[in-house]
Parts: sequence; structure tokens; C-alpha cells
Amino acid sequence: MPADVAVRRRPGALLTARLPSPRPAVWAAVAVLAVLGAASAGAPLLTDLDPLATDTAARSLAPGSPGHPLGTDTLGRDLLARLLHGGRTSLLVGLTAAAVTVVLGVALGAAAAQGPRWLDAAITRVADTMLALPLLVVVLALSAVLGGSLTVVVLAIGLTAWMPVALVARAELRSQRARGYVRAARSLGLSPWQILTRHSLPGALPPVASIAAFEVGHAILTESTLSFLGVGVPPNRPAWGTLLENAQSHLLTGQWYTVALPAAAIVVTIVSVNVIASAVGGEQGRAW
Amino acid sequence: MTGRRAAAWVLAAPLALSLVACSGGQGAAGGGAAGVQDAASFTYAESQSPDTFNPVMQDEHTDPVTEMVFRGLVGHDAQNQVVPALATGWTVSADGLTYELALRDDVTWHDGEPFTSADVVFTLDAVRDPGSGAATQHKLAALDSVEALDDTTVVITLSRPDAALLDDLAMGILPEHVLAGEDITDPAFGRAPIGTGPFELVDVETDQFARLEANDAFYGGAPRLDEVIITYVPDASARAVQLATGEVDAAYVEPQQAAAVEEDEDLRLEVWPTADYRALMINMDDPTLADPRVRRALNHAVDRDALVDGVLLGYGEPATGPLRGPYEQPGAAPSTFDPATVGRLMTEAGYARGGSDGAGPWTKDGEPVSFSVSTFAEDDLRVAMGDVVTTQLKEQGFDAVADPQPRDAVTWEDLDTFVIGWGTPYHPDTSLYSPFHSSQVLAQGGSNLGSYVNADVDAALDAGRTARDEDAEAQAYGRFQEAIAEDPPYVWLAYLQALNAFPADFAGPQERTLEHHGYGLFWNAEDWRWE
Repeated sequence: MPADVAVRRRPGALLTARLPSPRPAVWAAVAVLAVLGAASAGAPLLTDLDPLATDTAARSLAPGSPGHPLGTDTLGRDLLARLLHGGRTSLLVGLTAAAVTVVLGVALGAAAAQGPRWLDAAITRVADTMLALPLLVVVLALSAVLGGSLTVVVLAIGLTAWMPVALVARAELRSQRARGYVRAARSLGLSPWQILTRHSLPGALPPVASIAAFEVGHAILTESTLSFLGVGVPPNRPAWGTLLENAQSHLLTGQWYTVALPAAAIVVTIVSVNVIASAVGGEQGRAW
Repeated sequence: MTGRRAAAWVLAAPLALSLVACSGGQGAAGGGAAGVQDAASFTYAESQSPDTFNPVMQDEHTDPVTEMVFRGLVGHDAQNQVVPALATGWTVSADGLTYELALRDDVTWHDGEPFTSADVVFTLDAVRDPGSGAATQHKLAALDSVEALDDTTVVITLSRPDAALLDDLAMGILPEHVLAGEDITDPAFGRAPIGTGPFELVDVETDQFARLEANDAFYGGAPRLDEVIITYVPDASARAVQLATGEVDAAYVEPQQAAAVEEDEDLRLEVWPTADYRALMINMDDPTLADPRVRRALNHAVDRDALVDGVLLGYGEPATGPLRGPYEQPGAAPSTFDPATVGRLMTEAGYARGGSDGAGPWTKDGEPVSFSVSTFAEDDLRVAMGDVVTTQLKEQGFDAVADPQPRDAVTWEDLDTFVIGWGTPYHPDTSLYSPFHSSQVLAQGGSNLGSYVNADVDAALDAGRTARDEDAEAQAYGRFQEAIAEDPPYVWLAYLQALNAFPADFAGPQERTLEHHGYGLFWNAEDWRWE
């Protein structure tokens, strides 16, 4: 099994090191994500159909039609091509937004933990207040005001999702202060910045990592929701959420697959990410 | 402001979703009871609520509530010909500059006050006032003065002949006794309007419903229905569910739902023509697209039948120009789908297909013909049309990229092309002068959004609006159509049809060519009835 000594020694292998006895579900989830990621990344290799090209002679084909394995939508666009290219957008936005969320959250958490008392108070109060708001509405308003673009979606998600990361990072960093190796470092004359980057932050990362994994799922879901509501990625760029949005007017017309396929892609991704996140979170440890 | 509007729209979206979710829930209109059919109540579900029910704030088309609450000096019949309404008749002087209108003496406002010539003078003068802010102001641009000779006679004097004047006088007349000294665009009046029409508005909840009761004192006789409720349901699927459950009696439906309505034996599908066309507006500031040969080639590169079948599911007609009805000259601008003509025109214009296999885009001096196809991202139909047209143009060698944008983000100056909608079932001047006359270009604040300038078109439009008889009018609009065939301002796409589901046992709705969005449906609502 993978959690052997060699792996454990490698400092970057955080996820692997946290999984001493992985369950089959976790590996299944990893495999699903890997397949989805590879399929999305290699979309142009897997289909030579343009996800935007309409074909009025091949409208609303059911899955299994010749040349269109997953069928076509009402304008004759190939659903496989749209799903694959949509996955590129959705996964890219989801991962980027999650990264922005985590970086922003850790930075603010560190600032709160290490900074002056007023800064700590300010950051925690803002975080508490924002946690009390219905965030989807805030994201919707932000996207609506700033207009739909990938950058705006990523920023809107990051700006409304950093709070749990920041609060966990702050609590972890504060608890690190009294630890022996931190005190030792301080007595050796290391600057607060050196202590933070070399000792406190690495020590605080495991719990942050588990939250971060959940943030990926949250970000993909939020992106899909925004796109579904028409304020996410630009309307003509395929993304899982926009595919759902396009399909919603056909909910009652029997073309279940135009709704089911993108919905399944979103659900499978979120479930996989959350399975992995739970596994990481369940093995929280202090050893580095 | 724009941001707040966008946010409000966004906040409404989850509401619409939740409506879908709880489709079995209670009636949106409260009073519009499901199940038990109150013989004299009629509920109609519409997709969008207007900002105001004030007729002087509705320029191109009039929503059902405003249409039922107000009456103008004239109306339109089933052939869209001008017929008497508040005016019983009129005489026009030989020079076409003086109109004397005789008014009805038996009309009262919904609050019981009598309607007189003073209301007409008040409305026309208030709309004409430079600071009024009325959307219909441009329709009265030719007016010099409006005078009341007595309680039932009004004389309108023009500074130039205006062939569209009578059509434009169909605009609803406002009550002087309510609005004197007030701002006629007052939003409060727009929510609680008082008119002279067959129905009066008694209750309204913004974006939810409007409830109208019969005006038994209506000059044309008491309406057959006691109550009409218009509900606003943006989501087409939700409207279909409400139709199926009987929560609403009738509804505006989308082409995808037509088959389900036709299968339902309790419903009757009415498919009426509209004057509402969709076309690809071209920005003349783009040097490539400014070449008329390229624009003619684009007109031959679009397969309109495929567009009508593919996007409108057959509920539309190919458009080859902006005119319908008596003024249309079918031969003037055929614009058929014809790849050979595309090739000929582009070669004439100095372009050649690029790429090693000769299948690349049309190119001149190393520059491909490349442009974006924009439209309002909120309008699913326009987005779909833009997507299909983009693919068709690509197949004919034009490097087109579909680029829908949120309504508030559209900047007309920066667009290459745009899926636009215009058209009127009434006098053509109303929907030709603004988009195509050079005096109306965007840079001067006009609605000529593509900055189209053509001296022949200008001359024909000027002749059309000042024409003194039908022959002169037909001649002028004939010349207009010939001019735009040579130098097309748009790539014409399709006329939409309006689809409405009515109960099978409901009578009265009478077909005519409708306005934008299928508005104008309720033109004879006083005759509507359950059988």
C-alpha cells in the first residue's frame, strides 16, 4: 500500500501521508476525479466536434445516435463535446477559485493570528458577519454587478468562501505559539516571519488541507449555480452549469439527458471531492 | 442604477425557480382560483411585467394591461387599419397639415369623470413638452399645436405632413384631472393607472400579477368578462405547468411547448403572425463590414429556413426585409441562401478563401473577415439564433464568433454585429425611420445603432413619412426596399410567430399581426368570453 516509509518522508506528499489505510471509496473517488480531469484536459483530443457548432439537421438527438454518442441539444450541438469542454471550464474555475479561497483564507488567518490585536478583532468580526450572510445572494450580486467573466466568478467565490479557512488557520496558528519547537525557534532568534513560514504554518496545514478539499467542491458547485442562474461564466462558453441552464426549458419535453448528463457530472465530481476531503479530514495529525 | 437593476433581476431568479419547485402551490394571483371555473374570470400568464402601465412610456409596443386600461384617439382593427376609438372621425386639410378630430361625448374615465377634449390637449402637449421624458415623444415630433375647439373637437396642426400620425394617435390618452400639474411619467400613476378602456386595474403586485375588473361604463359596451388577471411567470416551464394544472386559463407559450398544448384537448393553440423580426445588425464602423458587397454576401450566407425550423421549430417565417403587410415588396430583396452568390460577391470584393485547402476564412491582404455576433445574453431565443447564424456563417467562410453579453454590459459602439429585433404592424415609418435614417445615428443619440448612412434610404424614408396618398407611400417604401437590397443594413433572419394557449371553450381572441413579443393580443378583450 502506498503509505510506505519513502512516501512519508517526502515533505510534499501531504495527502498521501494522511492516508495510511485508504478505503476503496477513496480510491474510487480519486480515480473518478482523475478520469474527469484527464477527459476535460484532453477534450480536443477526445472529440473533434466544436462544442459551439450548431447543426439544425441533427437537433435533439437521443444518446447513442451515430456520430453523437451522448446525443445533441435542441440546436444540434454535440453533448459529449459540450460536456468535455464544459468540464474544462468548470474544473478550471473550481480549482482556481478553491486555490484563491485557501490562499486568501490562510493569509487572513495568519494575519489575524500573528498581527496586532485590532487586526485580529477586525478579521474575525468580518468573518463572523460574513458567515451569517446568505452567501449565494452576495455572490450573485457581485457577479451581476461586475459582469460575467471567469475572473469575476473566481474572485466572487474566493471573496465569499475564505472565512472557514481563515478561522481554522487562525486557531491552528494560535495553538502553535506555545509549542516547544516554536518556542525553541523563537529563543534561537528567528524573526516572526521565519517562525511563521518555517514552523507554525507547516504545522497548521493539515486541518487547513481538509477544509481546502471541501472548498474545491464548494467552488465547483457555486460556479455551476452561478452559471445556471446566468451570471457565471460567459453565456456562450460551455460549463456544466451553463449546460444545465440551457437545458432547463426542456425539463418537461422528454429530453431528460440534456439535464441529466451535466447534472451527473457535477454530482459525481462533488461527491468524489467530498469523499477525499472527508478522508483527509478524518486523519488529522500533528506530525509533520 | 444598472447594477441595482441587475441585482434585482438576479434576486428574482431563485423565486422563479422556487415557483417551478412548488408548482402545485397556490395561485399566484390569489383570486384567480384554480379548479372551479368562475364563468366570467380569465387568467392569462405572461412572461414579463412591464416597468409601468403608462401608455406614454411604452414606445414600440403596448403590454396587455395598458392595452386594456387605455384607449387612444384611434385604434387598429384586425387588419391593423386605423379605426375610430375615442375620436369618432377626423378630417385632414388638403395640405396635410391640419387634422380636425371629433371626439365621443359618452366616455367617462374609470373614476367617473367625463372624458373631454381637454384631456387630449393635455396629453399631447404634455408628451410633446421637451422635458416630459415620455418614450412616445418622437411620435409627435411633427406637431405644431393642439387646440380644443369645444368639448368634443380637437384640432392638431403640424409643421410638416406626417403620414404616420394617425397610427401614432393610437397611443393611450391620459386623464388631465388626475395628472394636471404632475409629472406625466410619475411611476405612481404607472402602477395605478386611470384610463377609458374596457377594463380598469384594481390590484397589482409588481412582477406577480395584475387584476383588472370590467368597466361597465365602457363606451363600446360592457365587456363580457367580469375580471381579467394577468400573471407574470418568467419561466416557460412554470407557465406550462400552471396551464396543465389549470392554475391559469391561458398563457404565452414557447415553441417547445406547442406540441404539448396541441395534445391537450382542453386547450387551443393560437399561432398568430407578428411584425417582430430578428436580424443581424451590422456596425458600419467596421471597415470590412462597411463594404456593401460583404453585407450582401452575408445575407446570402444565412439559411433562413434552417433557422426557422431549428430555432423556432417552424413557428416563424424567413425574413428578407423589415416590412410586412401592404408595404412589403417581396421581389425587392430576395436574400435567399445561396453559397454560389456568396462566393461571387466576396470574390468581387477582392476576398479569397484562405488556408492550404481553400476552406479557410475569406481573406484580403492577409486579413480574414472576422467579427463577433453579440446579443442580449438574457434572451434565450436571440442567443440561440446567434449561435446558429454564427455556425452558418462559419461554414460559408466568415470567421464569426458568438458573444452574447448581459443586457447592462452591451455598448453599441463596440459591437461588430448584434441580433436585434424591430418591426411594427402599423405605419412603417414607426419602425424604419429610427433604425435606418442617417439623422438618427448612434453618435447623435439616435436608434440607428449600426450608424447606417445611405442617401437613397434617407430620401425614401423622408418621402414616405410626408407622403400625401397611398400611391406615393407605396412608391417611397418601394424605393426604400430597393435601396436596402443594394446596401443592406442588416442580415435579415426571421419573423417570429406568437404562440398562445387558450381554453378550448373560450371565444373572442381574433387573429391579427401582433407587435413585439406578441403584444397587441388583447386588442378586442371586451369581446372575449367563455362559451
